[in-house]
This record gives sequence, structure tokens and C-alpha cells, in this order.
Amino acid sequence: MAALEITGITELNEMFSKATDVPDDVKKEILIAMGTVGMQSIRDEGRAMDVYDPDWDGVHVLDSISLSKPKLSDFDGKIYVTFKGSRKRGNSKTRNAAIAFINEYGRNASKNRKGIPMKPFVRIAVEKCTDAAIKAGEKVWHDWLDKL
Amino acid sequence: MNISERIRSAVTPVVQECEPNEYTGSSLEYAVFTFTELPVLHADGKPGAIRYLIQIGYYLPHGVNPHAKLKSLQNSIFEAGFTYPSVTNASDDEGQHYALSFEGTDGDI
Repeated sequence: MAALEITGITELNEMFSKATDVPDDVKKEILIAMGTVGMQSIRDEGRAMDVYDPDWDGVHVLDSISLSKPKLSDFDGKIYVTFKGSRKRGNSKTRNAAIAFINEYGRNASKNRKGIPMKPFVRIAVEKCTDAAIKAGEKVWHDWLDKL
Repeated sequence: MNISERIRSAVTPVVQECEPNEYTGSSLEYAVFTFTELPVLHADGKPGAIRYLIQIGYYLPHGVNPHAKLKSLQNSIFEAGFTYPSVTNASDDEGQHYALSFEGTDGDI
């Protein structure tokens, strides 16, 4: 009589368990990889759309983009892409995040200031880079899996 | 209708002054819009549709209650076949300013 024998099921189950038990430092690396793609995409889209501060010739607002430290919880992880710091001109201080906000949504002209046309560079950058960010995260995960 | 015409026909029944990119008129209440096109649903190297990411800036003076018009704008845009807009309050000391963000598609390439 023919007999069918299967071996290695236990080892296979153990491997699947290990594959889902991703260490915290790998999870953080995944977030950093994804955030780095997002950060570069926002910078590129901002340059393409000519995002700028019309009252300032100093350090460009797009050079203030930075990545927070990744934060993990029981169920998910987060990393923030932000515009850090501020610029000072005379007695006035303006946060780079505020300059980015004004470029994203625009502002109207008045007798006191120039208008800025809306340039939703963050929204568009996020839409364009989603697939690439996921791929970057997946690469970190696959590289870790290959070492198991 | 092209995308600019579709947006204007959704907005002008609620906000009469509506221009692409920059408003050069003299009304204190007006809308400006911008859009980005993303080709999607590729097959044989060609897109099957265009996805539009649209943003409208709705401007009006301080002291005017914006809520009824904002709601009418959102419903008008939705009824014109776009997604229901989200609203970000970008007002400052010069006046009220609301950014409406939404999407549309066009399968006629």
C-alpha cells in the first residue's frame, strides 16, 4: 500500500512564527526606510513646484525637512516627516512649518503682503511616493527574513 | 468638459467668482483652484484613467459666517462626481480662507 509522509511541518510553523515576530529594531528600520522615501519625495515635489518663502533669502524651507524618531506601540508604528526650526528676520520669527503650510494652502495678496498661489506639494508628494515607500519598507523586512 | 470646466461648474452656483491658480478680480469672496493629474490603471504601458488631486481655496472676509456656504460647496462638488471634500482652515489675520481637498477621475484619455 502507498503511504504519504510529510516532514518538516513543525520547522515550517516555527519559521512562520519567527517571520511574524519582527524585532523592534527591524520595525524601526522599516519606518525609517519608508520615512526617508517620504521626506525625499516632499523635498523633490517642493522644488518642482517652486515652494519658497517670498520674504527670505536664507536657508530654504525645503532644507528644514527632517524625520522624527520612529515610535512603536503594541499595534502600530509611526514616524513623522516635519519642517523643523524657524527663521528670524529683524524682530520677527517664523517657523518653517508655517512657511510650508502657507505654500501648501496659499494665501491671498493684500496691501501688506504678496500673495502666494497654493502649491499642495506635501499632499502630492505623499500620493506619488506611497508605492515606493512601501517597497522600501518591504526591502528591509525581506532582508531581515533572508537572515532567519 | 475638461477638468477646469467641471470644477467651475460645481463651484460657481455657490461662489460666483472662481478662477484657476490666481484670482485677479476685486471681489472679497472668491475661490481659486489648482489640480494635479496622475495617470493610473496602466495596461500595455498606457494609462486607463487620469486621477485628479484638486484643491480649492475659498476666501471671504472676517465676520461672515462661512458654514452654510462651505456645506453647499462640499455638496455641490460631491454631486458633480468628485469625492466629498475635506476642509482645512487656513485663515489668518487678513481674512477667512478654507482649503477644500478632493479627488476626481476621468476615464476618457
